[in-house]
Amino acid sequence: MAPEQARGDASTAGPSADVYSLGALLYWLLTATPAPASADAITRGLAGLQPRPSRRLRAIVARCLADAPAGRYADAGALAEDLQRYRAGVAVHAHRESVFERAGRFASRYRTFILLVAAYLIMRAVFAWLQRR
Amino acid sequence: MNKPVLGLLLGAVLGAFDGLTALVSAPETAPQIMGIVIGSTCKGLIVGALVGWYASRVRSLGKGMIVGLVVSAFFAFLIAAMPNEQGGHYWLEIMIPGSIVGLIVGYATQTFGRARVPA
Repeated sequence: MAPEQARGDASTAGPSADVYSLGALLYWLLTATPAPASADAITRGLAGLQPRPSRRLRAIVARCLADAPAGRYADAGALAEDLQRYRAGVAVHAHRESVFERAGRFASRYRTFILLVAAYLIMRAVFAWLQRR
Repeated sequence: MNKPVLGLLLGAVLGAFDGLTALVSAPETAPQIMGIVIGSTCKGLIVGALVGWYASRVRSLGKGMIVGLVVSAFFAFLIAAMPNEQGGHYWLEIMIPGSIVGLIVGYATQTFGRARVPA
């Protein structure tokens, strides 16, 4: 249950309360435990998993479970869009990536393409080296 | 961009680049570089069109890459079979990189580009 619902604050309970519930479900699916109340405990709970979920997925869950409604996704559609972005391997709105994270995601997404181009360039370099011997 | 057009463009660009690399891997071919680049570009265009056409009909990364490899290796073989001025052949120098280019085109046309919409 979203914190504002638990407090009985009907004036602030809206679509973001549904997002909180979906986030709690996502947290349970990942950890097999109920979502804790504090943001620190949520972060620790997700970071302590083995294998550890990616930062992007952890950020999505954490945003769903933000204490303040304004800190969550506006509605379930926005959450679904970010989850689709995560599944497609593109940047998510919940997490601001560093340059290294972006490069790593790019390399992971286009691994085969990069390997093929590298194989081509290595092959060309080998032939050039053989030519000069 | 649909897959055959993507294959055409990628095949042409990679074919031209592949032809230009002859300057590095076989510098003695420099006087014929224009012919090599034009021939390699034409090969890339044909391979790209065929592989892109296949990708627009069959959605399978593995099959698409194999088709790219086989088609490109075949055309590279035809080019490599042409003897140079000394009567020798650049079998490996043409066929191996040329085949990898086919793999790249096969991968790209399966992964990117707009697929044909079924009627």
